[in-house]
Amino acid sequence: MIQGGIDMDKINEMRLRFLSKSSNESFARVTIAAFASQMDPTLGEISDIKTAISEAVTNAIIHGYEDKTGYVEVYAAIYPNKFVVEVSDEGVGIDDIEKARQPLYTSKPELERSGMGFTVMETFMDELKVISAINQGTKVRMVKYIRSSINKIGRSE
Amino acid sequence: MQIAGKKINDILVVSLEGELDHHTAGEVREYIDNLLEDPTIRNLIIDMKKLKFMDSSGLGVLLGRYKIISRRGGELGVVGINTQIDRIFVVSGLYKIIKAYDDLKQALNDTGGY
Repeated sequence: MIQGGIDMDKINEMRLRFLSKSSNESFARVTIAAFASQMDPTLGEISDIKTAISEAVTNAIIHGYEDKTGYVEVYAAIYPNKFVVEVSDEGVGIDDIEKARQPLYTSKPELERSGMGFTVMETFMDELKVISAINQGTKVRMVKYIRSSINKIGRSE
Repeated sequence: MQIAGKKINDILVVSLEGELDHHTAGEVREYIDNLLEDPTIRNLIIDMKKLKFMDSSGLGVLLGRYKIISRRGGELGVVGINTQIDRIFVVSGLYKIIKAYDDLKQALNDTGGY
């Protein structure tokens, strides 16, 4: 339900912004998982979220910025029955999103990448959307429905 | 990331403790490849009992080592993977080429280490 531009269903949200350094991969997944844990997810759900975030943040660092350093932003929001997470970079962008999402496709085989990042995100989350523009950046939006959270989280405070 | 390696006959056993992601992948790859320079090693067993997390960067490391080992006619096995890592293995189809064991003894037995 949206009233006057404010999403009334949203229970909580957060934003994290950090440098595209690989040491921040574990920082991001642990922080977002801790935030998601207030939905009382199962261990399986929380580890799915953790893995998917790790993939998206790694993509931003390796592919978005390549050898440069920039900012990666992770936005997360809690709704009564779902967890929404968006990982964005202001890097090089993806030329062919459909190709990038193919299992085993990698633009960097020399780095021994498995090409399974998007496949993992797709499988571990319920929805995956990729928005990208050349030289403007990439945003990956993922949704996970948390079965256990319905009726558990208070709407006030 | 804590890494330890030991050689048992023609098997290299590498134990990983920590989290295997893009940040730690290079270190693990280098460590294993250094030990694999010993041409008498034919098989590789990676003990993951203490590995808490792995993502697709870890898949890349495993697939790369699998290529080296299979060129030598050997096998790659993993020991003690948790449910999070199991999910990654299932999604990627890694079980088709890498054998998984509950404990190291079983893995060594199967690979001819004892």
